[in-house]
Amino acid sequence: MTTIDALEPLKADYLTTRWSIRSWLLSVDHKRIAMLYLISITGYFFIGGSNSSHPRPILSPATSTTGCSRCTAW
Amino acid sequence: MHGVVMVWFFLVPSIPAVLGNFLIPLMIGARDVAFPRLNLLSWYLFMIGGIMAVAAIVAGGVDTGWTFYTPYSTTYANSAVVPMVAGIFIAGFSSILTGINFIVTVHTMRTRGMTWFRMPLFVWAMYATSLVMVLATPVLAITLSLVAVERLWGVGIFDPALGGDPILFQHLFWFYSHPAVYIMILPSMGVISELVTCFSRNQIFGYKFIAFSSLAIAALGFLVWGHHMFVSGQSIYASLVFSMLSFMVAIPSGVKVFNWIVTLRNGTISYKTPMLYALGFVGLFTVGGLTGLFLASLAVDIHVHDTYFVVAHFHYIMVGSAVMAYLGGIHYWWPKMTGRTYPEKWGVFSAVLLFLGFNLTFFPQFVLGYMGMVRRVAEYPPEFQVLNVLSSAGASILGVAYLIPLIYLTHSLLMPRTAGPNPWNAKGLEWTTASPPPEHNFDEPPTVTEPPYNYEQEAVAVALSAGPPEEGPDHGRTGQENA
Repeated sequence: MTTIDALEPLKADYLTTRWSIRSWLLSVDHKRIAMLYLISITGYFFIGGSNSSHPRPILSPATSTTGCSRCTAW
Repeated sequence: MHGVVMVWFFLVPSIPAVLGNFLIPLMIGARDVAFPRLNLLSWYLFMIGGIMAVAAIVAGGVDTGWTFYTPYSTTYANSAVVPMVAGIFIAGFSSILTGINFIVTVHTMRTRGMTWFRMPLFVWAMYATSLVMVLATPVLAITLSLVAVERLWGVGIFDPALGGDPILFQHLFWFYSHPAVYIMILPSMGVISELVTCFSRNQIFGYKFIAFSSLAIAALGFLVWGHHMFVSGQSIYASLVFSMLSFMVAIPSGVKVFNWIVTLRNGTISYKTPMLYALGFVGLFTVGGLTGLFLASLAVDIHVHDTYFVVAHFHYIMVGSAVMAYLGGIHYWWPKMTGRTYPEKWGVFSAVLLFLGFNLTFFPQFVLGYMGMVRRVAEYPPEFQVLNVLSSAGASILGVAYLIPLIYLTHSLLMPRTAGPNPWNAKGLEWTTASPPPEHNFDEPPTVTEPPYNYEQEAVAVALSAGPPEEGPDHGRTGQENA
C-alpha cells in the first residue's frame, strides 16, 4: 500500500488501494461490496428488462387449464 | 420471469445493497458496517441465488408469475419452479443478513455526537427497511420451501386432494410480499428526503415526522396483506379490516409527500439531474399511491382486480418511484462513489426522457385496466389496440432512457477524478471525506455537533447575495431559481 502511495500522485482511496481481482472478490470493505452489488444488480436489471418484452403466451384463453380467460389470471 | 428477476434480484437489493452498503457507514461516521465478512457473504449468497434464477430461466423459466400461486405452481405448472424458488430462497438469506448487518451497524457504530435524531433520513429509512427484511423474509423462505416440498415429494400443504389449502399459500406469500413492497419503496423515500433537502438548500420540514413515518410504514406493512386477496373468498369482515388498514398506510406516506413539498416550497431549488429524478419521484409516487387507495376500496377492487389497472399502479410505485429514486441516488452519490462527474446535459436529458417514456408506457395501462383488460393474458380485444401500441412505444423510449445513463456513467469512469469531496455543497458526514473515500472512510472519527440538514443559514446567505452558484460537477447550467 505504501508503494502505491509513492507511485500515485493522488492519495490512495478505496478504489485504488489494491488492484487484483482477488482483492475485489474477497473484499470486506463495505464500499467495494457496494460496487460489486452495483455491477451485478445492473446486470439483473437488464436481464429483467429484456424479459418484460416476452409476455407468457401460456395463459391465453385457448390454452388455459380452465378454459375461462378471467380465471387464468393466477 | 420479468417479475421474479426485477423483484428479488433488482428492486429488493437495489437501494439497500448498493447505496445502503456504501452510505450507511459513511453517514453515521463509521469505519465499516458492523459485520464486514457477513456483508461479503450476503453478496455471494445473492450471486448464487441469482445464478440459480438465471439457470432456471435458461432451463425454460417459470410460467407461474412472480407470485407462484398454488395450486398452479405446485400441481399444474410444468416449468422450472423448484430451481427458481431455490434461487429466491438463497437470495432471501442475503436480504436477511444485510438487514441484520444494518440494524446492528446503526445501533452500535454511530460516531460521537451522532444521536438518533441527527441521523440522515436515509439511514432512518434503511433502518426501517432492515427491520422489515429481517422479520418478513423468513416467511417467504419457508413458503417457497413448502411449494418445493409439495412439488418434489407430494406432501399435502396446498393441494386440497392431499388435505392442503391453496388459499393458505396466498396468506403466507403476501405476508412477506406486501412488506416486501415497503422493502422496495422505503429506501427510495430515504433517498428522496436527501435529494429534496440538498437541492432546495433548505432544512427538511418535519424531520421527526419523516423519520417516524418510515417506522410506521414498516409496521403497517405487516397488517395489510389481505388486500391482495379481496376476491379470494376470504371473509368479508377480514376484507373490511384489511381495507381500512390499507387506507391507513396512506397517512405516513402522505406525511412524507407533504413534508417534501413544504421543503421545496421554502427552498431555493436547483434543477440538477438528481433533483429531476426526485421531483419525478414525488409526482409518480403520488399517482401510484393514490391509485393504491382505489385498489384498497373493496368495491373498486372487485372491478379492477387482476387487470392492467393493477399493473399500472404497481409500476408507478416500483418503476416510477423506486427506480427513479435509485437512479437519482446513483447520480447524486456518483461523485462520492467514483470521484468522477458525469455530463450534466446528458443527465438532464435522460431524466426527462425517462419521465416521459415512463408515463407513456404505464398511464395507458390505467385506462386499459379500467376498461377491463386482464393481466397475464397475451391476447386482447381489438378495441384495446391503440392504447397498447402507445404503451409499447413508451416502453422503447423508457429502454433508451435507461441505456443513456449506463453509457455516460460508465464513460465517466475513464475521466480523471475531479469531483472533489463535496460537489453539491451538501450536508452530511459522507461529504466531509474525500471522493472516493479512503479505505478507512475517515482519517479520524468525526464528531457531529450540528443538527441534520443544517442548510438554513446558507440558504439565507445565497438568497441575499444571489452570488455565483456553488461549484457543481456539471458542465452546463447551474440554475439557482427561487421556488
